Amino acid sequence: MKQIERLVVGSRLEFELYREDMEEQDGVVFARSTGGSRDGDRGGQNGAVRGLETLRDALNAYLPRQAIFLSPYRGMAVDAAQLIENGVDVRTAGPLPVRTRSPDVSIMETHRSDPGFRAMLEASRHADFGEPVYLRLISSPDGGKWGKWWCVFQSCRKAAALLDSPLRRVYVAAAGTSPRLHVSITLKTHRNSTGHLLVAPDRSRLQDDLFLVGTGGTLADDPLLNQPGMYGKSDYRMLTRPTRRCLAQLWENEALITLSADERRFYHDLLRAIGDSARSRRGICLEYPTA
Amino acid sequence: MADRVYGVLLISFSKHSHQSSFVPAFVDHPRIRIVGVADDADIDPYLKPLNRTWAERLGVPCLEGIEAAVRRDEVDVVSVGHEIERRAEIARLAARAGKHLWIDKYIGANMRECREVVDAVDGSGVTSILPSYVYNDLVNQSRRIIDAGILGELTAMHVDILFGKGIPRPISNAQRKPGFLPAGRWKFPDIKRELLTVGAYAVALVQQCFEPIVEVYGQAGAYFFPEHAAHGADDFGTLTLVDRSGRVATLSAGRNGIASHGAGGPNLAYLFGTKGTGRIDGKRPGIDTHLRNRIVDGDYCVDEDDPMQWHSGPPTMLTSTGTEFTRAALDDLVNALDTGTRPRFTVRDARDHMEVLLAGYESIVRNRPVRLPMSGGEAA
Repeated sequence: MKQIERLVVGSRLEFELYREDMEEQDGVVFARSTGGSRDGDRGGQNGAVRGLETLRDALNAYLPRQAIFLSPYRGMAVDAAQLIENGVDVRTAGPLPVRTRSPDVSIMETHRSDPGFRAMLEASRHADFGEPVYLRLISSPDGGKWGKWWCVFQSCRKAAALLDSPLRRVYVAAAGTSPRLHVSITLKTHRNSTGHLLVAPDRSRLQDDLFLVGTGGTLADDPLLNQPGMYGKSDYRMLTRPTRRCLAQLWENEALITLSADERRFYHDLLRAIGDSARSRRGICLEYPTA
Repeated sequence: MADRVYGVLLISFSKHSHQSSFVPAFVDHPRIRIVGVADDADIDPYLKPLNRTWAERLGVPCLEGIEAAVRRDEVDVVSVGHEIERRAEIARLAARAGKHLWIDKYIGANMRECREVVDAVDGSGVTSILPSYVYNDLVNQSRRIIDAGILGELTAMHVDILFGKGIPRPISNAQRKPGFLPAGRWKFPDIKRELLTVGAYAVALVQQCFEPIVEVYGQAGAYFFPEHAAHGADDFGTLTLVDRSGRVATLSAGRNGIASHGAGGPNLAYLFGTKGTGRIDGKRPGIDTHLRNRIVDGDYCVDEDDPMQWHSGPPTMLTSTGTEFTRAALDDLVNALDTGTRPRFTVRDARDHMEVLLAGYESIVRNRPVRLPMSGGEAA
């Protein structure tokens, strides 16, 4: 097996987020967490592999020093356990969807590598912003229920940071079935600030549309305004502006999350609530565990 | 035969209503004639001179005693702009007198009153309209996108409507009243319940796009204004609504202070469908208006007599060029009176609308979702 620095497993969308950063690095392989044929360009200088690999090929071909799972998939727990057994430093962007006997995998906050999030966090901590009152965050990740669950997990972490308070309670309401599942999380924090974390079906280009309301004003990260576009004969087409995210920041201590057993249980309850709510057409309240 | 002109009686210019903002549309409409201003004798002291001033300005009589005024022959339509607590009584009285109803936002202060108004209207066969909710661009554009079928199946919605009005100030713990004030008390001299006042627009939009709502979850308790915190009453809140087929709508609504948004507060809807997501900005179309002198020479101040800016617009960097909704509502009413058709938002819609809002308040107080239809104490 060829030794490389990093293996990154994620969706095509996540590939786009880190593409520019990866292209400047040697020894980084990005493998798609979902199936499909080999995609994107391969090869590169100094033996570096650039572009998308299929997951099975990548796991068979490379022994990374570090591996990161940005999207969950069936069989991920086994793959992660195997990598850990081989001495690989493994991190994931959410809790494992199934309970396993494998050692706990380190979890990290992916938004720590997002310049937009860092700018908003900084602006929200300025005295002019006042006290945070409300957050609305809309995402539309690739993938099925587990992918949406991890998106909710990351959104909850983001909300706690931007609202500057631990979560107290969430109300989970979901509609539709995967991959057209829509998940709405209504949250309240210990400071009585509130939020809506919306995870839309994956046919949308709407990514991380964020609106933060404070007593001193509002902050917004609007993808419509932040993407270049093109007027055509009959429509307006949004073009892709890759958000330059830095992989190395995912290995910084700041990005690491320590979840208590109660918190892990909460997020597994939340996963179950997503399915139950969509089936029963009712919302489900969950209390966030106190520290 | 010339088109009939309908006489409108304006009942009260309460500062808690939009009566004054309806007047230009009434005056301009070729099929409408204002025939008087009326109110009862036992009203707030500020209101008598205000009613009189409006009557003088419009050149119509100012009548004391609503019941007699409503019965006058020249009155075809009664425009109800009294406080929410008096609207049901006036609406019932007018309906029984065979007069059509133009009602500002709410038909009653609770479910019992709302049902009584619906019964009175159904019993009398008069036409009713609530003009404030469904004739605006946010609703029209949303409906257009949904009806075009380009979203696929609509599965969820999100709406943000905030009024960038008033001047928030720091709130000390001593200023905060513990707990949350339940539904039922709406009238205060210094505040409005903003989930009711502003959230009402978002709920009406959801009503226009969804099937009947069966579950409501509400949240509030974070404040912008010391006045609201002192009452334990909402200046901001959120609702999550689930409809009969399981679709989910989320909304944020409230009053969050001047200069907090370039367009005076967002008026935004997202429609999540199986084929894509629609996004409608209710403040558009408009002209972005970035004028240096308005900032460097800015001397903006809020009117001391209207600190929450109930009767003035917020400072904005967007000059809206969209259509004004009152004229469209008035056209709908006149058409309904001419042809016997049903206006787009009647007292029946208003009853269901109020039930969603009351369920939201109930949910906030109880910290749990509330199922509809409400029953027992919840519906009172």
